[in-house]
Amino acid sequence: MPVLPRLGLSAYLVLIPGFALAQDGAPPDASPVQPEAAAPEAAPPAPAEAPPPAAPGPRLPTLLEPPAPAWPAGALEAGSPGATVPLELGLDENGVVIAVSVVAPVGGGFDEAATLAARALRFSPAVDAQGEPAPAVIRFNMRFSREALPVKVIEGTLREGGTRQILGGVVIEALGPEGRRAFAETDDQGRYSFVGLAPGPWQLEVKTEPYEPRTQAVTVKNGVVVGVDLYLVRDDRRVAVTAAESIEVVDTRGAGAELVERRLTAEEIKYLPGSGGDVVKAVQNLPGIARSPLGTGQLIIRGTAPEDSRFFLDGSPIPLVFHFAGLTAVLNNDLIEEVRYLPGSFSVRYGRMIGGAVDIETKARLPERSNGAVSVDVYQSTFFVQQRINDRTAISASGRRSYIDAVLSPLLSEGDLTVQAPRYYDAQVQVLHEGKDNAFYDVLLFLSDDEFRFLGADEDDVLVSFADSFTRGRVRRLGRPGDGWQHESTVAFGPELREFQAGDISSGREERLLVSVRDELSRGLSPDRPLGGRVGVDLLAGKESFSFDEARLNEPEAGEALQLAPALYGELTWRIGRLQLTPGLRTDGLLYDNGYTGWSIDPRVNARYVLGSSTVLKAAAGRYSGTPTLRQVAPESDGNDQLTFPSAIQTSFGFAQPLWGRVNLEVTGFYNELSSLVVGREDRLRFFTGPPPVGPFDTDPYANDGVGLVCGVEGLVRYTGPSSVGLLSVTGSHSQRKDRPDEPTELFASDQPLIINALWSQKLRRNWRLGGRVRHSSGNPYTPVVNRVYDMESRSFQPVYGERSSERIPAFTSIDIRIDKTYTFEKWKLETYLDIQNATFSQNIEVIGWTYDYAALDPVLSNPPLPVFGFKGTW
Amino acid sequence: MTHAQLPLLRPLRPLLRLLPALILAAGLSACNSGPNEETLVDELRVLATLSTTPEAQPGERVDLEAFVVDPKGESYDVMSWVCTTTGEDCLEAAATGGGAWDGLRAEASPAQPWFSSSLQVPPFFAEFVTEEPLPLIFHYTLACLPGRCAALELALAEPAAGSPEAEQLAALLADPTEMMTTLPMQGVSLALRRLTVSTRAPGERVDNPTFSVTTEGGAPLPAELTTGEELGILFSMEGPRDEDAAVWLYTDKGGFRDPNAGLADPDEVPKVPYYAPDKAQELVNLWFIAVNGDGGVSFGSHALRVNEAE
Repeated sequence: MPVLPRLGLSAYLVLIPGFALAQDGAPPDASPVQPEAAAPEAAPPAPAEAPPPAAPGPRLPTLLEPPAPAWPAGALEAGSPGATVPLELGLDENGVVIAVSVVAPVGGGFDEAATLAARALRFSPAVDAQGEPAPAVIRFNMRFSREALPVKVIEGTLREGGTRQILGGVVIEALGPEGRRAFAETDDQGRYSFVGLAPGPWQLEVKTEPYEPRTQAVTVKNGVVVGVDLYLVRDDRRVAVTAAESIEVVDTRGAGAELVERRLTAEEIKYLPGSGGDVVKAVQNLPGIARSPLGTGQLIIRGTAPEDSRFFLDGSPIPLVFHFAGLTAVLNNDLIEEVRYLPGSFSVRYGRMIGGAVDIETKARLPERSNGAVSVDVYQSTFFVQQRINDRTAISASGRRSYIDAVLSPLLSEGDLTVQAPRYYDAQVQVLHEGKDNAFYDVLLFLSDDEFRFLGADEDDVLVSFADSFTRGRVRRLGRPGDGWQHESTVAFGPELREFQAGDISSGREERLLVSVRDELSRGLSPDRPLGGRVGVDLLAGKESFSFDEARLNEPEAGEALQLAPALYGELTWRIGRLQLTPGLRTDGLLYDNGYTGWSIDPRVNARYVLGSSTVLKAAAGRYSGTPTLRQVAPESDGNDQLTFPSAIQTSFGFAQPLWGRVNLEVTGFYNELSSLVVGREDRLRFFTGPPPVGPFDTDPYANDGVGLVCGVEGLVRYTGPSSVGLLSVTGSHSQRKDRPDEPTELFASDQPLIINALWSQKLRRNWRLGGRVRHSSGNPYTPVVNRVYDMESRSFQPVYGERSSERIPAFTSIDIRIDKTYTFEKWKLETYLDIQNATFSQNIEVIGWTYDYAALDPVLSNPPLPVFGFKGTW
Repeated sequence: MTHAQLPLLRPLRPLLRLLPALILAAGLSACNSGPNEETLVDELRVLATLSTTPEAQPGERVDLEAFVVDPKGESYDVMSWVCTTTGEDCLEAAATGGGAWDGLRAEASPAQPWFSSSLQVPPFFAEFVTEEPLPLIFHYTLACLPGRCAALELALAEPAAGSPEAEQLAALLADPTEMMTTLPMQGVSLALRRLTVSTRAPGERVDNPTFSVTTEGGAPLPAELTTGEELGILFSMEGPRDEDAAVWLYTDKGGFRDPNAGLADPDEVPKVPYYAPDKAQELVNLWFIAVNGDGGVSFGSHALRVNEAE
């Protein structure tokens, strides 16, 4: 209960009772208090215990019932003899205590206990000279004595319903017969107790934000301690948004902060419409990412190809983050702390790419308690269980299994055709340990497996199949040597496999067994430390192999090589007044045991300047290098072992500015020059995570002939209100390529000049939540087919292409809707949601295509509205 | 349970009921068994090109034939020419300076669907050709509605060697793909077939296949069908073949279920149904083009009448 300020009483007098009410029978112990207003007359002493006479005239308030203060937690066990706490009480004209303050603190928790107990005191009203009830301020000594301990009658704990999170520091009020009241406050373990309550029916009441009020009836009996555990239902609409305020921030953690880093915490984005609750998919709403066809989840960042960007898990590369068709991420949501999206101009910590990155950060902290979750939707089911082993260790297990195949396979299988429709699963086991050496240890075992098969008469008669799987074991240590230093050591290892087979026509297989090592020492800035930095080693090593047998190849291709890709990086962060400067250098090498070697040196610098009180200006420039693939350099596949690293000179500049209250604006411009891009051999089978590319194809040998230019502006407006979150991201960009010196400049295949995403999520009453997303993006350019030639060997029409990239798919527009409702029970919560993508059934063209004879367009259109309904229970 | 709110889930139950229907619809859509649109030829098309031998020796004369389908009965012009992969330009381009345009022939409004020409395989191929067949000759056939193709108009005019018109024609034919970018798509059909050249003698080299088309029990195809009737047709092939061996199926009315019947396995006799059109037709053409996968091609056809079903 807040201690009210001393009342500005317009009382006529302040009464000075000589109470003799202490439970130990101590003499009256009260002292006068000067009135706020001048007292018209002194008050006479009042009788101690007898009720006030009925005659009119000034009369002191008298205590109607002796107090039964509960001792502070631990005080009895600690042998405390007790204490007397002098209080000043404000009473209203009914004699109800409306303000309590401690006159002379005694410590030991007695002050707080006395304050709480005083709120339950009941007095007869003070009476002024005219015989009218009047407010008053009095002194009162609350005495705690071992000789007269009150008897405990109710005890229990207070937790948040569903999450069972302990709620400490919450006041519980007990309302009893004849207007009696008592108060108890939960301790840091959520425990509370009531002592000295009179027998009879009582009602416990809890009112605290952001929870719905809770009442519980209880009968107090002599000699019986009643146990009452209370659970409060969280009302999200009452929650002042805190998590959402970090939906996008400029990183201030550690040294060498990214210039543009957009972070999405798992908790805030799981409700965003259109993502099906998947925290990784939500990244695609941010500026700089082009819309991938059919929602496949490809990373098309700032006008670069999907293979130019990479996915990381806590800084270690992983081959993919989405299961089939981008349905969902390969990692359980409950393991994810946040998703860091780096659209460009990132620090030297990241390399081997010329586009951008998405780094999924898992939770590197012990859970407050054991917990778990099970979710079920139309595609899949997942589970997550996390158990605290002791104060320093926790273990978790999670998994996911799709069941599209269980439903579709019997439907699609017919005669000699057996269909094993898309099925995927993933599993994770994680051990978290807080070491005694002030370091945090994290061991993660992680696997993901996708498969799709059309079989003929028997299991070996594969008509079409696709499989994609990887396994990772990872050990991470986060050390904190002190003085702001952080030491991160990570070792990740495991196989990757990607296979494709189309009957006897074509097949492909890529396999890797890689170890990645990162060891980084960093030191962040602080108010009194203007210099920070990081230095690290980033190593990839292992074995890589491929085999392709495709009709268009003269001979099957197969290759194998040991790979070593070491990298060293370092940067300094220096704050000079309002300017923060981060120069850095990264050098990468790539060696295959077939003789190929390549290397790069990438200097980078970024700067930020705080202008005024809240505006941050940002600028960066740097070189970024990718690496050629083994197939591109292997002699077995007519590769070119003279290939160098493709590279990009990235420059960006912008500002971040809070606008009105909860609205923030960030604008970033960028200008990237791409060079030494590897082009050629587009007649070869490649693995794609999205739709197949559309011709014409460059079938000449591999060469570093490609150059490109990408420029644009990204804007992000974010609103984080008490019951709503809004996001508006706008990207305007231009991306062009020139594949060969003698070829004309053309638009990049995924050039989308304008991309707009607008999202709104509104909390409603009774834990409903409604969200909507509007997406608009320019269509990809394509090369039109102007005629065709009938090829007698293949018995098919071959396209004759017109001017390259001279046509563009119509713009994409779609509206997605999401409705959530959370039901809170005592020990678990049930979240239900309905996520409808393309609710307006827009017939957008996703991928351009033609009829078999190229006489007309026959594009792939957007999916019809797909309601995804799901449940998630958490405890 | 502190809040008995589960009844609130009831409004969502219809969606759960809808789910199996959605999945079923997806499944059924994948099991479509109607006529394959690729088997219906409904516009001017060079449907097949054949040669007396698919594998020729240097200096050997080869007769070339093209089968042109014109379902709409419009008048069209046709020409064929050859290019080689040994030079930058087509064979006839080298010949424009003088001599005959060997391999080039044009005809206006032919009365028959078969269009013939002939070519002498360049003798100088012998300098580098071995017993290993090489696809050295590109045989193009172009059919156009009148006035749509400049090259065909020029060829029909038979320009004198060395004349500007001849040079213009040679330039157009030298890069057929580039030429096609200037032509309309409708009313124009260009087909390409590659001929292989080797030193192998007849009897050793690839030959055109022979194949048969029957109904159940080995009976010949019927002369009449009723509207909407389904006719199962069996296919077989003799002689050597590779995994791409097949009979490709076309018609000008109705359609086949599959675009081809695979014949890679000599022991298999695949059956593909033909679906008669829904309206009575005096004449329906079925065309069969057998390929052995090694370059050999044979052609067959069958005409029938479709009567109204009673």
